[in-house]
Amino acid sequence: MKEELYKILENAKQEIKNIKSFVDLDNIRAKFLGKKSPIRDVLSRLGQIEENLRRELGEAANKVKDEITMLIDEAEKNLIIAQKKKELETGVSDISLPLKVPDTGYPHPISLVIEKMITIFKSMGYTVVEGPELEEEKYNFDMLNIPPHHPARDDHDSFFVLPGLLLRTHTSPVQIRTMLKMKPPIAIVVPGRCFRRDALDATHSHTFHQMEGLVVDKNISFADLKGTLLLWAKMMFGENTQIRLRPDFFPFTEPSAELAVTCPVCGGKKCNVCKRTGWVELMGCGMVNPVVLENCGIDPEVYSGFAFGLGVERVAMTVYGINDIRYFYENDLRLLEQFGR
Amino acid sequence: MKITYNWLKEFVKFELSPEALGELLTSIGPEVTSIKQIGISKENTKNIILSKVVDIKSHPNADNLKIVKVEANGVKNVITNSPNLTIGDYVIYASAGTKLPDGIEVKEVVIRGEKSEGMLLAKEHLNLEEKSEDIFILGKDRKKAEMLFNLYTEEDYLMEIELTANRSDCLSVLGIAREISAALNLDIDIPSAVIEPNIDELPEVEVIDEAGCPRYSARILRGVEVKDSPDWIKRKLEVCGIRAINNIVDVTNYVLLELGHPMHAFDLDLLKGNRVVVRKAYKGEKITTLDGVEYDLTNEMLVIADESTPVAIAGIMGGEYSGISNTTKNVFLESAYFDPLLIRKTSKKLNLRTESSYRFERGTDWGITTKAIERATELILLTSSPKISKITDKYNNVFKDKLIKVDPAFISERIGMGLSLKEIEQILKRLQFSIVSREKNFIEVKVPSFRNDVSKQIDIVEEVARIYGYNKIPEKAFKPQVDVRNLLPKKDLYWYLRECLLSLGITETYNYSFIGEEDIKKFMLNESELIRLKNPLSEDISILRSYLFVNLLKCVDYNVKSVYKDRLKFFEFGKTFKKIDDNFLESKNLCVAFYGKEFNYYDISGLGEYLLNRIASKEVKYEKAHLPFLHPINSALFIFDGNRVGFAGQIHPEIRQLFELKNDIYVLELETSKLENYLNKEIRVERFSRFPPNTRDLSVVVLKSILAKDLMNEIKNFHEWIKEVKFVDIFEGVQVGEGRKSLTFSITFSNSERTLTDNEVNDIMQKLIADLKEKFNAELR
Repeated sequence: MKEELYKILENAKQEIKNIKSFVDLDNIRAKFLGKKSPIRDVLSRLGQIEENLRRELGEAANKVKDEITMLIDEAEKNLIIAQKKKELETGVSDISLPLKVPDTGYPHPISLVIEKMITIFKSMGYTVVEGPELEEEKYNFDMLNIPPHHPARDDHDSFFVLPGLLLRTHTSPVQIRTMLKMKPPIAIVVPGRCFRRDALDATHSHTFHQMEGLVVDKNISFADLKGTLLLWAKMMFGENTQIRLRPDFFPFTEPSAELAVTCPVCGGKKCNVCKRTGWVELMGCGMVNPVVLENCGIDPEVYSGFAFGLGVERVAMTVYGINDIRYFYENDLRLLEQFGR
Repeated sequence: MKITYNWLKEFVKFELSPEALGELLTSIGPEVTSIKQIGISKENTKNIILSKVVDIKSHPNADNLKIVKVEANGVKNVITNSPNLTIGDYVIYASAGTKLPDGIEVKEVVIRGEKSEGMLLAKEHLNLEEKSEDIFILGKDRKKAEMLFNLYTEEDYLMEIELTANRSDCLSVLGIAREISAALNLDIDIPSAVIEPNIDELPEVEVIDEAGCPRYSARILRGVEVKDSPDWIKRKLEVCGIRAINNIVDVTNYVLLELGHPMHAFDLDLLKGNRVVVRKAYKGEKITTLDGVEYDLTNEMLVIADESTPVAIAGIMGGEYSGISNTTKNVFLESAYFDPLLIRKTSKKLNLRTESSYRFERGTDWGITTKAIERATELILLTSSPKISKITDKYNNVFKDKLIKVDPAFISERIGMGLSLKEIEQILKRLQFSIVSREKNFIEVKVPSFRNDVSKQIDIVEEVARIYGYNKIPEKAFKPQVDVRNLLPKKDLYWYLRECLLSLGITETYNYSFIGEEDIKKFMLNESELIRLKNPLSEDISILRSYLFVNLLKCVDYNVKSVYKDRLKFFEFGKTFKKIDDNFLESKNLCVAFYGKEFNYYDISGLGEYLLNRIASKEVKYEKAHLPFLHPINSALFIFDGNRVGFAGQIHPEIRQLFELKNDIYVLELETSKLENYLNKEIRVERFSRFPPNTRDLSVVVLKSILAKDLMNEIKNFHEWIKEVKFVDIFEGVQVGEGRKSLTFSITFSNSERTLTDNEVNDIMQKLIADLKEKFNAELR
């Protein structure tokens, strides 16, 4: 019996040496330590043995069992170490493969300009308001002091849908809509799409975007307009930006002005973008014409205001160096992909 | 408008350089858009000289070229293609190395084997006209040639000036000179000849339409000799872009440029009855104008007529028949003021725009009509000695001098800085406004007759501000009053969704708002809801888009074919327009398009559901789409919180084939206008369970037409303990029966108070199964 035990131990040692996997480990554990293992068999037969030998054999059998258990535990430990080692030794074949880079969604330059303007004016306390693109002629023209046959309508060749109903030629009708709805103080900005019946070329588009501003309150002056636009220009193009105004004409403002800012590209040092003048004209502005206030039921004796408006594409063209207005509506990815932030 | 620097100097003695003058004018209103040097500048007086042609040979190797010998600091060989040059002619020679005003640099060149040592100049090279047909030949007479040379090569500058619609008073040399005089506080020298009549004749004028023609002045000149104008008049006209014709017509054009007042000259003998009637045209009347075009007139148009027929379209263009010709002996000079609106309407209707209509429709100076006649007479007398009639001046006195009360406090307040009465008065005087009276708090000023743009005190604010200098006015830091509504950190739906889409790797596009006739059939659009433009630019952009996907799909097509992309993800926010029951509905939409072989229906429907979930946690349902432009099966409508809000699906294969695209296109279009109010609702958190959930799978067999999402919504709402329903699997096959499908969901139960027992969950599951059986005829699998 002793020999039998010795053989079992030898067999076990042999087989434990050959353990390659956790499956082998489990099998061998079952084979040598399980219910049907040879040791159990030996132990179950102990009762049939003489009492004086039984004790010794019992001890021997338990010793063998303990040794096998120890050996199997050791083998398990080694397996775990080997497995951990292996886990660290295997991995991707090339860490630089761009297999799962999320797609980039590129923002459109028109949105970028509008977004920046809105952020600036919101920080200054203005409300963002929008209006319809299909607009009534009276809001688009008449109430803005542009009666039928006014020469200013020459610059606003319009697409009509019905008599009296057109695609707005500027965002200014939203001034009227706002003043009819709200009482002063008013401080709004209006981004939006506009349309003029201009054939397409590099600098003309029948579709374009404007951003409009309107302030109405007591004691609003031309100096307030200048201060506001200077602050805007600095926030928009950088703190060293300066502004310059020259007289212009819009029927809905009086006095009216055209605003130029220090060229955002060369900072006023004169370049091709500013045609070597150091200045870029970007915005029409002026004091709200009292007639317009009156048209909206606001007493021009008590209130005054200023308004301004600019072409979003014009700003984007200047700032981003886009030299054809049609590019904005072509959506060529080769252009848009340059706007990945 | 084009005028010259030297011409302005005849009116105001200013010292500014052309560039400085340009800047000054732009800063007070008239925008100087270009300044071109004309004639010969000081640096070029030695390089560009008058020369005599002493020999002409034809070029041995070129038929249309000539080799010319000119006397120019010795004899020089020059090659020219001038067809009209003859020996003895005086020409203008520029030596090699000269930089000409039009930008050309003269070089010594060899043309087909022959040397050319300079260049014979045309007027265009000296910027004297836009385009020349031949070189400038000054004739064979030395004295005359020298005179012409000195006249035409005088150093001068052509200034192009753009004027706003309100400043018609500046559409002349005089007008610009007035601005300079106001800005620099200099005197202005206005031509003010008064010619004594020497015959006792008064032109016969009848103004029937006094509203259309408030003032009509006229003079007759008998016995004129029609011939060429003096060269200095010709030069000024040519430089300003007007062709010289004869001494009468040229003078009317000269006065137009100089004083800004359009005049017209008729051949008196061709006016039937030798008289003029100002009236509306009769129905059916026609006129052939000076340019040889025949126009049909309507009874809304003002004409100048003789006894029987119209001889001019008032204020726009004269008739061909009654115009000045070489045989004209007696001239009828017209100088009138016409109603701007009437001229504008007529000019627009006839699509006929002239220098004259351009000024009349913007409003001319009603006070200048007779002065213009005197000036024209003065100029005609330089070349001819006709008998001079008296001036008829039909003037019904509708014009009153405009008086404006000017309150210095108001002016200062609007400008935003303190200006004294004295400063204001001074500026107004420089602008030729006169002070009529001085009261305690205001002064009363009279507006000069040429300023039809000024009628109110606010106009005076502008006058004072611009002459004081816009750029000298201080900047005040205006801050709007705090409006609490603005300060609330509100999220704007469009910017919010835009950020979501960009983060999902979808690129933003801007497409036109128009579609074309062809698109209706191509995209199977509902014609009855389309809104057409009354006056489109062209047929392909003649209809307002009723959906965004049409143009977004074209944008996909462009990027596939011209940018060579095979995988695209695009979105656009924009307005769409539909006519429904005669109402025009404008809706702001979002459209997304996916193109590429990896995409399928669930990419686009999933995106739609995701975006709706990001807006608000409201129930999303699907419905079959039945939209003709979408695949009949792979398409759906979204129902959000009970409202139809858009669709998602595969573009109909026929449309894909029309575009010859390899892969399918998937589009999502949401009417975001309907979703605006969902954002900005504050979130209220629910108590959540910290106990382990109890999860059950449920497989049911239903008819194929039953939508999984409807079952999921039903399950989700069935019991408060059901926290989540996940789709696990779909199976179709004989095992579940024809026309049926098996759906498996994983349902998570939990309770915030305790762990749920199996019995409790089993109980709900039993009831749920019964409910699904009843509502969807769902069988447990």
